Amino acid sequence: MTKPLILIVDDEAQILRFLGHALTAVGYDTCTASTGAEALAQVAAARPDLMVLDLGLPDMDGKAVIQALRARSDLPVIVLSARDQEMEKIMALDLGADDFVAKPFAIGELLARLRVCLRPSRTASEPLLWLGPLQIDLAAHHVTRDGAEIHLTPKEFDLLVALAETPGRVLTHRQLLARIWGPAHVEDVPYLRVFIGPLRQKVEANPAQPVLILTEPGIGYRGAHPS
Amino acid sequence: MATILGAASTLKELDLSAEARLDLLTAIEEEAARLNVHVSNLMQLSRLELAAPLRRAWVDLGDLVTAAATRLRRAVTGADLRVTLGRLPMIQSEGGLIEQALFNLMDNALSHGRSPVTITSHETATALHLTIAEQGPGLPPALQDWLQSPDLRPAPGQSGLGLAVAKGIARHLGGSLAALGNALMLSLPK
Repeated sequence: MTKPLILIVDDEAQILRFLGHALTAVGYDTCTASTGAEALAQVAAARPDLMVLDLGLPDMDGKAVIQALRARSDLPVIVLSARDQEMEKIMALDLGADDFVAKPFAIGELLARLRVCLRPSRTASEPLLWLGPLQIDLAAHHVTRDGAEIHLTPKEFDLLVALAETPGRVLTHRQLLARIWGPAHVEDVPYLRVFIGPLRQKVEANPAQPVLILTEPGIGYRGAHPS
Repeated sequence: MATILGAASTLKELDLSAEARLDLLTAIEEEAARLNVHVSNLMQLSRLELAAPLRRAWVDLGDLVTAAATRLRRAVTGADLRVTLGRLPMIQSEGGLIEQALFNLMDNALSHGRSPVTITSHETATALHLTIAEQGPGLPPALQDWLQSPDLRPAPGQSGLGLAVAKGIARHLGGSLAALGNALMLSLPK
């Protein structure tokens, strides 16, 4: 089997250096770029399976790289961004990045995101979804945990399905609001929180310490990482 | 910095046991994490001095307390933080700044006060309040005056920048930081 090829885009040589070693050690092939223009050229030339993109590039805004890329490719993109730059992360995700890792990060965190983003996406024909121990029957609008049915409202069901469709991957407030309540409601973040609370009460074993619906503060929610 | 350079050169030049190597690598990791906190605070101070415009978004203080506590528990082994929050409404503010202020306040309480450090919340008509308390005697009186002033220099008698950054952030967000006995209260407008 060929190794997945990861394109690492960062203008810091030391980051390229350590990520190159780390990704090679766990069995990926890597190629690198240190500017946005170079990154886009590499996508066409090397045909990578995933891009790890630092948002602070010298020649063009990392967000512009995502926009240019999304015009022609659905290559998975994980963005790297400073911890306190929520806006940057949200904009990158809403433009089509698949996930983010806040700098500085421990390598395990990036590897977990890579695994999730490299997994083939679910095909629409699958009738059942899983989120941890929850089994979601899409046709019957039915959720069970260890065989016992959990009664959800239609909106709660839609929210759970959205999170379960891309387990381990972050969804921004805006993405969830647009999908479930429609484009007129993308700014109604407090509204979303009102629905997450009761949903957690119903599906989490300990709603105070959720493990199935995780919060990304200021950004959105993440369905449990598939183990 | 001395630890990082010393440990790295030791790892490169000397023949060490696996155990010793792991220990030095852990020392590098811990020291770099500490340095990262310091550098973040330095960078934040310069941003506060420039009074950068706020990038407001909906924030949930409960989530930010959890995020700061999680980060601190990773940085400080055995950190005894006890969080008991009521249900607070969301506010339009800058989450990253609040998280950094909370991290600094908890870090400060852990290193200068006595454990456990408790974090509680309450709400008034115009503001949300988060109280970070330790079990020691509380802040020296000189700090009380300093808290009232817009001065971004380190707090009197303190070498770290954490408290100055927390105060600067509170003011930048239109709120305040106040001392109440052995507790500091971060108040943010609704």
